[in-house]
Amino acid sequence: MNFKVAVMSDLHVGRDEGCRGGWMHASSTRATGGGDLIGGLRRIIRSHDLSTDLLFCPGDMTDQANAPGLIRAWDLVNQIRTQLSAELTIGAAGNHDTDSRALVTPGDPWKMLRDLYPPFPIGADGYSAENDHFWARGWCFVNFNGVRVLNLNSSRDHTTEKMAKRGHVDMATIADVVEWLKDHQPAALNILLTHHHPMKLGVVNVGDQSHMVGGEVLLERLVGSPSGPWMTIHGHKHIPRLDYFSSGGRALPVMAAGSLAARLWDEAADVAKNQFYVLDIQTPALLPGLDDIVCKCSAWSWSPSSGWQVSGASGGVMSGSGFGWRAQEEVYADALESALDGSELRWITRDELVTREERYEFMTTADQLRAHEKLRSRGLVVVEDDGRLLEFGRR
Amino acid sequence: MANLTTTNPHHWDAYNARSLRDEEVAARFVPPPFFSNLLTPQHQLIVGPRGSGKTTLLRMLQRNALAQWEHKDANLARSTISFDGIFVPADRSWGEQFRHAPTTPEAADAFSVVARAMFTTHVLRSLVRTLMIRGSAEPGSPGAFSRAVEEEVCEQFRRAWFVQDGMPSFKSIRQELRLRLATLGRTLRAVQRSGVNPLASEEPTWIDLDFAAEVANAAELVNDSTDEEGRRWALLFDELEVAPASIRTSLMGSLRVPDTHLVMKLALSPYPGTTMSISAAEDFPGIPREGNDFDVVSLSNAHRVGVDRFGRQVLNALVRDIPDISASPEQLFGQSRITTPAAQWLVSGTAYSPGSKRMSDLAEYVRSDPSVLDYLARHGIGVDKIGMVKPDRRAAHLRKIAPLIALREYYSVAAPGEVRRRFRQRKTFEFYAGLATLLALSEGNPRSILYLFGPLLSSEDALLHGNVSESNQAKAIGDSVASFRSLLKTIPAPTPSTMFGSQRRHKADRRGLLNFLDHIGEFFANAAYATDFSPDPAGSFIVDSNTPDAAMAAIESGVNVGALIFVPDEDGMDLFGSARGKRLRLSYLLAAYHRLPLRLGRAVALSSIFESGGGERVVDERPSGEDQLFDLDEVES
Repeated sequence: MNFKVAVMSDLHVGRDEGCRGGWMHASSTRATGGGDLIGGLRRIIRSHDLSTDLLFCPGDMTDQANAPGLIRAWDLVNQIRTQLSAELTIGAAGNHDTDSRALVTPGDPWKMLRDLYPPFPIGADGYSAENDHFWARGWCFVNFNGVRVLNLNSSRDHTTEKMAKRGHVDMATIADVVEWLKDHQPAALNILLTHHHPMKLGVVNVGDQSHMVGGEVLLERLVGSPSGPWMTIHGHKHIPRLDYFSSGGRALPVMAAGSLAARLWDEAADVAKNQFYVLDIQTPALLPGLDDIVCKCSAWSWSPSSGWQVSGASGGVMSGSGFGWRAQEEVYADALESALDGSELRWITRDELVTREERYEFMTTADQLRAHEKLRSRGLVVVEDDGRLLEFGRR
Repeated sequence: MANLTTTNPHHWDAYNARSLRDEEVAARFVPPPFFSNLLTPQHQLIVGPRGSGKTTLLRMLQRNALAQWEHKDANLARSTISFDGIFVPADRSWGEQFRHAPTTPEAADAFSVVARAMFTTHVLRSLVRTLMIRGSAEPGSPGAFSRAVEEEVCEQFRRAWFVQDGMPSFKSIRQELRLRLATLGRTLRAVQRSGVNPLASEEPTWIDLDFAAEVANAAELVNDSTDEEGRRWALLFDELEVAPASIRTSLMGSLRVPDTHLVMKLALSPYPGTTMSISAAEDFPGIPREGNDFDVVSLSNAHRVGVDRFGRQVLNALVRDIPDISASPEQLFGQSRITTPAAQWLVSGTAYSPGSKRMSDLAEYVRSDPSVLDYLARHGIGVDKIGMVKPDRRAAHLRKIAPLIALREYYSVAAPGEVRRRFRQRKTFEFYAGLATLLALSEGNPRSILYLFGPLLSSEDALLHGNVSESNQAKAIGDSVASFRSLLKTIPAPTPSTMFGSQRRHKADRRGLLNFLDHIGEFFANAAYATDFSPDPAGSFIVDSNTPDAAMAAIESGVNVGALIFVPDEDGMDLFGSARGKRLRLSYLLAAYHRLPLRLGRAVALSSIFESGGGERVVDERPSGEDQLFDLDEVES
């Protein structure tokens, strides 16, 4: 099956221009100090004729639990859903969407989210049972055309400032989820949607302690369950990345979605830009040597000075990368060189490469960059634009 | 030299066409009336302030952009154009890189050589980019390259430009030239830092390549390879004001060369700070002459003919681009406060008929403003019989003063015993809401239109309700004003007392262009809100002979950035050459900040604005220019 998902994460829409967390605020979609972020996004969708099955918003729609910002953000997200002709919007509860400091709705940190319309987290009528389950138990499953989404509230324990410093999933919840899965038929595709990163983000963020406590246990259980193939999409740190959670020989793809509209904190700004994604997911993979799920990611990056652009490596996730093909650099380089040799041309374009070696776009951004380096070390020429391969060949 | 900030990224620049794809530029493009002039194979200078659309125009002279343009004039343009355009954007790092030229002769020479090599490399990259795009066209379409032609051409380029690495493809050569630019950037910094040219010991063979010669050769080569012998090419240089002065001078000099195959179109701001002014060139033999060697195309908003219509066309194109909006611009933004509802015109033939809303508003206000009451009384118009005034006198007095007194009513209250009415605590821009006023605030400037209208067209008001509330329009105006002012704040200028002599201590004697402009705005506000009402308060100024040289750079910066708008006289004199003797007004965005009427206003001498006491000295006895008046009624009726 082929399935398309758009991702708008971490909007951080604040109350007004005084809000420093995000580019947008409740009264205007013009980016503070920047361009027309949402208008530009609409143009991208229109000019590329984009459409998806679902739209995910992995949390932090607002900044510091601001009610007008939250309402505005959810409204914007649902407007974009309409433009994408997506059937559903599914949101994750972010730490900024939760009134953990009891500033707005003391005693009920999630009231602002529960009061949203369209309903949250599943933004459509007819899903009240799922939404009720989410608020009562901290998770729910949504079935959509053979795809199953597990929406997990990683901010569920954010009842105090101290608890809100990181995400959580407790053992009882994991057991509940696993039990639920045992009682249901496997799905063609399972997606875990949550706000916090279920595993640490690695070298770019060594000091980070805000990952989801219990997240790796959850992933371990999911990847090992007989419920069908799994992948994960989350937000939170604004550091976009395509990676895998590995367990033995099995791998669960993890997409760390970058922020659509947050002002990036220093460390993130060095390795990322604001991003918007459309994931084209395929399962089972039709080519040999690939994982159960393969995905090609179209990504656009935004900056105040240049607006939306097809994303290169400096944005975090490079457009035309993805996941599903895992191998050693030598293997990648051999395959790409074979594609060149098979063409009997001195150099080939990106399109020609993808035609001859479809798996290229199922490599993560980091794997593509490593493969380019490996090709160079063999004396080949790789022409890139911000890391994106444009052509490669021989001198 | 006029101070420029084009090297400092500012959010106003987020709407620059520089970063758009060709198809995006083409999709939004509305041709100004003079577009057909640009399609001719003439050397041209395209002169206009920031945001006036220079980049868009140049980009539309490229084959790829023009091919994607859908407009009733598009086919004619495609069949008229007789050259292939090579768009050469300014490198945003130039300003910083070239700011500190070394002073020792040896280092200065090395600096000049490296700077020239950087410029040449940049132009060659632009050429290759143009060919790259052309090469990606569908096989068989006009101008498309086969791979064999691409490889053949690229092999020749590599030899001619001494590109040793990479592959014979346009993209690869472009990448190699980027690496060369990086090397040159490091070299330039070394020269600046130590005065020593690290390339001197083993000077690369490519260091002396001349951009014009190389482009001409390349054009010939491509023409030969594609059987288009004799086809012209045009170098389209954008934002030349950020290029090093020596390059600008050299480019201006190249306009003298009547190369029939290579046309130059140079876009720059009105006062680029070049060592050779645009019109003064006529005074010197051996350098290019306007009208003889090159044409000048002015994008200054001076000649208002067509500006309003053009602005409306740009807006219509924006609205059309959003299929979710079904309302017209008129429905979206409504009437301006000081315009007449069309129905009222139809019924009475005038907005000031007895019982009309405008007439009753006028009468009510007039009773509260003694100086207006006196003014009308002096002209034989009593407030109780205001609706009975004959049409000719109505036009002469009421219609002329109506926008002004509406503004006084909205923003001020009486201040007995003072020279100026007091401002209310009312900071909103709602008075300036409405389609016609929003367009006026944009000055027919495409970037301003995008900035002001863009977010409003993406708003819930527009998408769901088909009507943008006055308060949201006011917020958008506020956004634009704040953004524009924050841009102006970055532009340096001396204090008013430094510029105009220190005999007078100015109230806000701070440095910076914004302070200079605010001083002028405050002066006009004093006139518009004077307790002694004038029907034609000062609202523009002439850069008179008493204006010191020290102020000229600030004025020129103001013009370049679009904060000061040139007002032509009857002779159609344009902005080129010195600003001295020219008539200017504040941009309407700044006028709105100072709560001024959006009209030209009577001209006073600039020096008198800054003189002790700030009294106005009229230097131009011509009327304020009724024909120039921004007459909202005419726009909307």
